[in-house]
Amino acid sequence: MAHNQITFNTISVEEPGYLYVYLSYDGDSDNWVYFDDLKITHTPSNVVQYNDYYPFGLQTSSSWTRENSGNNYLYNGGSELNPATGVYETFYRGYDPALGRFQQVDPKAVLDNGMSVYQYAGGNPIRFNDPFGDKKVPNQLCDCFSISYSQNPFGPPKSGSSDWVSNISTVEENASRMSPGEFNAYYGIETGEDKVDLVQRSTTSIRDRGYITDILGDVAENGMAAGYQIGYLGGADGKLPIIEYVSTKLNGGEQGWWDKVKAWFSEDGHDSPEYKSYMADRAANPGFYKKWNDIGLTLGMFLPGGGLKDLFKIKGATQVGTKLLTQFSSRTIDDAVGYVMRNPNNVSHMFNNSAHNLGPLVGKLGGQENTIRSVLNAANGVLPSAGVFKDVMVTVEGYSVYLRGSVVNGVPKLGTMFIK
Amino acid sequence: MNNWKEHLHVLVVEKKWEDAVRFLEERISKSPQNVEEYIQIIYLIHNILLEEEYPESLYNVFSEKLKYYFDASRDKFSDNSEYLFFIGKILHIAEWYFGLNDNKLAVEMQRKAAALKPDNILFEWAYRVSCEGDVIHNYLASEILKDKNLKAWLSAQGFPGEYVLNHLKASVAEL
Repeated sequence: MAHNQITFNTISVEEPGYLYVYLSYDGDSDNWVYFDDLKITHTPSNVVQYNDYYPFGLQTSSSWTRENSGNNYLYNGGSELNPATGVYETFYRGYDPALGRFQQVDPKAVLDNGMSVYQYAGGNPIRFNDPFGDKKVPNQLCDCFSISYSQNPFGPPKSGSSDWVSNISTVEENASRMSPGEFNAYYGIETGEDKVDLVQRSTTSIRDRGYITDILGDVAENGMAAGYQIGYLGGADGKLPIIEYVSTKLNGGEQGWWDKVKAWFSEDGHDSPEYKSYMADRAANPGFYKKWNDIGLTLGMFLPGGGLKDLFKIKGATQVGTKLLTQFSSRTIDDAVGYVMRNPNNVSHMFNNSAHNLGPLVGKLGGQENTIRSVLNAANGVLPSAGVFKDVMVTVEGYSVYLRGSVVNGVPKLGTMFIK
Repeated sequence: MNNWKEHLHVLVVEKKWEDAVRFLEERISKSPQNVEEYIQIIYLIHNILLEEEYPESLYNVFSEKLKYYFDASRDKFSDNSEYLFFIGKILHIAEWYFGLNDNKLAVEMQRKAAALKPDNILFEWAYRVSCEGDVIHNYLASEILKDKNLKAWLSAQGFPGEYVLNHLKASVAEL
């Protein structure tokens, strides 16, 4: 029997994804064609560069770059490291990481009352950053750790965060420690895999007027995560922390702090104007509160220096920039995308229905898979932790996309999506 | 199309979901051995739950009915290729409404439909679509759309048939 050996050129895979390999006979004859001895070899590429840094940005001697393949544009995601001088060339000034100071005068020195117009990030690169060389900005991660004492409802930090947790006392006792007129809280949520997402929420009223920042920290081990749920809300008179609830899910503790909140307020004397205002706000903004309540987000609290870090057992935490709370890991999103894309029945149902109006979005994003991934990423953090969801609205590329589906075994499964 | 399907079509166009479901329920109660009504009601409720607007208060009603009629029919029509073909296809989309966690049953139904009617390329197409990596289902779709009898049969099935036709046309467009 005639046979041929077929070989193909090596394919260089430039980005993560799926590689589909098909063997088929497309000739016009009626001959039977058999394929056998199919061999696919995957050769991972070499690491081309890795960098370790001292706090002020100087690379350690353990940093290593493959010859002719270095990337010098790593400072805050863009500015160039001049390899000849070792200076980071930010937009406004040159920054010398060996000295830990800028080479030129702060162009906006009048905005800050620092001790030097050359200093970098207020002399505190752990707490602050200066991406453009003109102004120090807080590191979100550091915000969590540097909660100011003036706002700390519990006074000066105690030694050892574990003491902190175990010393949490009654609602009333902690109420007496609350700073008047302040409401601040920190939230944490576990992702269930190898990292923990922390969400910082800083407000001066119950409704969010500030920002939500997502801080991802890789947890090398002992996932925090599941560890704690702690909640506080401060009332206007400093006497009304809504609830304190510590749950140690890992140790079989209780869950459902929101039920505790409601139960506490159902008791006589606890139903304050602040609580009524809060409940009214919840009713008026269900989507907002759903975002951080129904998915199991935990209300945290102020913790002094390092306390949060220890509490949540983050190791090697790194700032990844401002983004919304993530609920599913990238691997889970991959699974969710694959769930749709691997099944033409699902793809057809979703994209071949003209009533779904997805055409423009698909065109803008360059394909169906990109569309699903973008939508799921946008929905990451606003879907329930389990069960059916209906008409969850996300904004992608300016389009309001409505989602229906179900979270099954931790994976969001899209049943349909449409643009109204 | 039969008169009852035309009546059902009118109710669907007018988005009278409760009336449409009630109409099919009455037909099922009168003729519980008719497979067509079960296919229709499963497609109808699935479509309402997934695609249409309806009062939240009806969510539990519809989702329970969908599961009820699926459970009531899957054994009864386990050897009916028409049922296996249609229901196997819709099970892929939102299996959670049927109390399933994956699409294994969907694929098995489609495999069985194709096995029961090996000469029916429509059933073969549906099964092949669900087999990951299959490369000829689009070709089969083009052959099906050339077959006037198959197209007429699908059109006569009302919404489920139109749903399948829509997928077939999209498959051909990919060729």
